[in-house]
Amino acid sequence: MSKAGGSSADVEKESRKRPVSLRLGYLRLAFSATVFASRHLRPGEQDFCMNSIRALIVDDSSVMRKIVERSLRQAGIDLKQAVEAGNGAEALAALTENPVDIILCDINMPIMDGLEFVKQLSGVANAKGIPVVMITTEGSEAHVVQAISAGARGYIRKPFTADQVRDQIIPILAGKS
Amino acid sequence: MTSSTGTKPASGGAKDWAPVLEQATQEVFELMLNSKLIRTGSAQVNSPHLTAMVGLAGQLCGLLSIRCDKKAAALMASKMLGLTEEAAGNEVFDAFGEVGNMVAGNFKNKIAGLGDSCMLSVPTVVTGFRL
Repeated sequence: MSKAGGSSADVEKESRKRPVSLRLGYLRLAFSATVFASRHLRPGEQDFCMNSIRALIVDDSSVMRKIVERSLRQAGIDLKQAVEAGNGAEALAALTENPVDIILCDINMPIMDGLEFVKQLSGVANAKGIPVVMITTEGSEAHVVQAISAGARGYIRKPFTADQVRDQIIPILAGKS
Repeated sequence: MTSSTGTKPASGGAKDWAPVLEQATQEVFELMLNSKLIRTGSAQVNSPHLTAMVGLAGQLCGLLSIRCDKKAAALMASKMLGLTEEAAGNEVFDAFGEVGNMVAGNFKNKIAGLGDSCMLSVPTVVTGFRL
């Protein structure tokens, strides 16, 4: 699902090439970005999932929260409710009023980061047994170990695909991970 | 996605990092924006444009910046969110900052040893002419 790229026909059809430049120190990279038409799920591709779920999505970027929500839906998960929080403290507060089935959480956030949030979850009545999956750019082994030690059940590195979200989330929701 | 190329920070330095940075950038664009990046000799970015900056501190210090025109940034936001460019209008800055954040994070995760010893700043996005 959601394989990147497309055919040459896609390129010609869309034909939206844009220049992008990138710098790091004295490195200079220049690119031409070709944007493909959005890929839509084929009939039936979306319908393999279980009962509808409620998810808490924690990220300081509102765009990333929307992307995570969209990826859950693209992964075929029937999302009944998506509760959003901009940091760990907001997420703890949100949990007191919104019982959820799964928590997807960034690590680097202001006020309270994702690792501290996961540690504090044990003191929240509504969060008992709720699986947490970290979704973050921090992809080092040490961060993974820290997250798992703190109580996270899964780890997805940004950038990610809906396939990766599905492969991580479905087994956890099914109680197989 | 591969998480590490095994490139070492001290093995030749920045010269060896260009292909790693190129790959890290291309992966972000392919996976998150459904877009293909082709390396070119130069990128003539028309004004007004946006620049997203992410600081790196620790074993590798520096500033990663990514720049494009406003139209391209709006297109990126629309692809990331699955919205029209008009509907994604309010999210363009945040989305472009996230692109910079993911490129920087993906890059450092590909350099062996940098993942734990290099911190990223919160992305900053500025807009204007002749930045």
